[in-house]
Amino acid sequence: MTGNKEVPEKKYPPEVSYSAVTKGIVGTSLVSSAFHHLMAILLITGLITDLFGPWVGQWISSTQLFAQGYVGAQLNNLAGVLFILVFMIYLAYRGIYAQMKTAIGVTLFVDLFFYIAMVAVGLFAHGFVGALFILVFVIYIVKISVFNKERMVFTVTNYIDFLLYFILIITGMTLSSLSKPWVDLFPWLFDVLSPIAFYGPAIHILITYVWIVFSAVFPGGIIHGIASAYLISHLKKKSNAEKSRMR
Amino acid sequence: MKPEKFLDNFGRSETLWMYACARCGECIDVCPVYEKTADKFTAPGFKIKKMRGLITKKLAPFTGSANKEDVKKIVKGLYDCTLCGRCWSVCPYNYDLVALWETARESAFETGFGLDAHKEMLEAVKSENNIFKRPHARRKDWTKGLDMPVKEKADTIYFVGCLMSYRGQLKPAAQAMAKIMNAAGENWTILKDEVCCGVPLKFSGGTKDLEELMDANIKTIESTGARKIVFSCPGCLRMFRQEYSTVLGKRVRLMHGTELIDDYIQSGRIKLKGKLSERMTYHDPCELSRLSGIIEEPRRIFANLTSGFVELPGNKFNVICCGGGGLYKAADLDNSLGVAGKRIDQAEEIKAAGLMTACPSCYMTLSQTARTKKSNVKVVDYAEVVAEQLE
Repeated sequence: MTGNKEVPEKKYPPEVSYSAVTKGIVGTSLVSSAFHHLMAILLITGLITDLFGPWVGQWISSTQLFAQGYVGAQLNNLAGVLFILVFMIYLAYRGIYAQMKTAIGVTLFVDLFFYIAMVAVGLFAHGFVGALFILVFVIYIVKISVFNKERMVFTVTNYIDFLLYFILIITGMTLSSLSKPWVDLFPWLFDVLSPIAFYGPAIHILITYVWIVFSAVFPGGIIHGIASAYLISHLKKKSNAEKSRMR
Repeated sequence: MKPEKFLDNFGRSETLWMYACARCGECIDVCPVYEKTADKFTAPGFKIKKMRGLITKKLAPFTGSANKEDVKKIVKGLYDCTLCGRCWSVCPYNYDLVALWETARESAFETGFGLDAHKEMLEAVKSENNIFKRPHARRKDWTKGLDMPVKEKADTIYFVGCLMSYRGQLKPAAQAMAKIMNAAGENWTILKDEVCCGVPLKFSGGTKDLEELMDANIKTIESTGARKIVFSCPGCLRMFRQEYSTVLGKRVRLMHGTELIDDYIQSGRIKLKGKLSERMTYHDPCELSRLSGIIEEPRRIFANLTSGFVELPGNKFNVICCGGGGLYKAADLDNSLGVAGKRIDQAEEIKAAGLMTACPSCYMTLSQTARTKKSNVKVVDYAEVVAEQLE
């Protein structure tokens, strides 16, 4: 217990903005901040990979879940190859016009950038961010176990969330992304987790959607995130409106 | 009692904040009441968790409805709070927790969970316009023997407040303010018919008669044509800044006594005798420093007042509450004084002979605790010290 914690001076009544909240969260706890931000990135990149996966040649996607492992993977691969072919033709088509009109050239560049970004997200970001998340998750759990203050405010939902994260980590670590830093680093991990190799991707995706539904119904991740984002933007607008009225 | 109606007054923002809370627990670490009681229902984050549970019951199907015993525990936690704002100061979301506790207390009061002591206090305010149920006609008794006519028109109003007007121990502090303003040649007056500012109503949650009180004060203030109101009580000051200012507007400057005296010293309107050599320290009132941002003004006064000024640990914006705020004394006197005990101990540790404060509520709590603990530290109001040192 430290009643004497020093914090920088701020104004009351408080003003709320994204930058103030980000500074506050980072200043309060780097681990908690890293945990929450990485989780948000993983959710977004995971959904992009899953929902747009077939178009960018990514082999992990919900379709695989429904088509059971290998068949689904082949379907996705086929979809990916077809997409790339179609996209190449599209690029060539747009390229001719680009020589004629600069605006189209800009559009082409944006399209290309978007495509590369999607591939980067699908192939690399999710896997590497996930690998980093594992480290942060372990530190976060240790921290919670040591300090009672955080346990005191956690609900049952939070503990179920942790269980779901654990399943996502195990299935995601070796199988659910094209980039697998942990397996590359420790090849024996692949053997250890090989019993779930076939269903790993399917479980990973299924649990992701279970978590989304779960934390949307009970007060947890999604509600917490959406409520925060909404309130900060709402209060920021309110504060700006008040400032302009005072001027 | 209507437990199912508790927190019905929560709007969109309050409801969403319940879910937005990051559950980091920072507020729990710094809460002076939780530190003293170790009762988890006094811990800010835990209260939010419990209130979020009630909100979920209102919103989600198949979750049941609020139980009377649960609500009672939460409400007890809400009143076992000094409203010092320390939880807000460390909240990474910068969430206005002080306003949240006040809104929740309002709901507690409306649904029949308010404290009996608070209900009695509100009855007193209703019948005698002060929290002590002392005759309204005696509000100006502290002016007896002073050369201080109540004027129809003046530049400055001294809003005395209930504590300074009625508490014998504090009357010298009010008289000291009068002496200082006279010495500065201020054209000032007290209100012909001052009534409670309403902050105790806000703190208790019983805000039904608040507007009536505010209207009475506003009418009297406007009739004087004053452009400046000075307060000794930081609670009254914050009440005016947050509630009255919407009616009074920017034309009336609302300031604390420390700001006024600092102005007087800086502009040379008052001169002080040589500096005191006693080792003196200062307890920042939460309402004044953290919640009103008045931190350096009192220190500039002390720099002119004493050569033996030393800072109390846990000061300025990060001040540790004296335990007397938010009507906590009415909810749990022993623990309230227990919180104050920490401040007296800290003053003893730094070997201070005098502990100055600039809030009547802090003064009452700290001096009562110092007496109980038989401490050598003398609790004094800063205005009295200034008045004694006037040339």
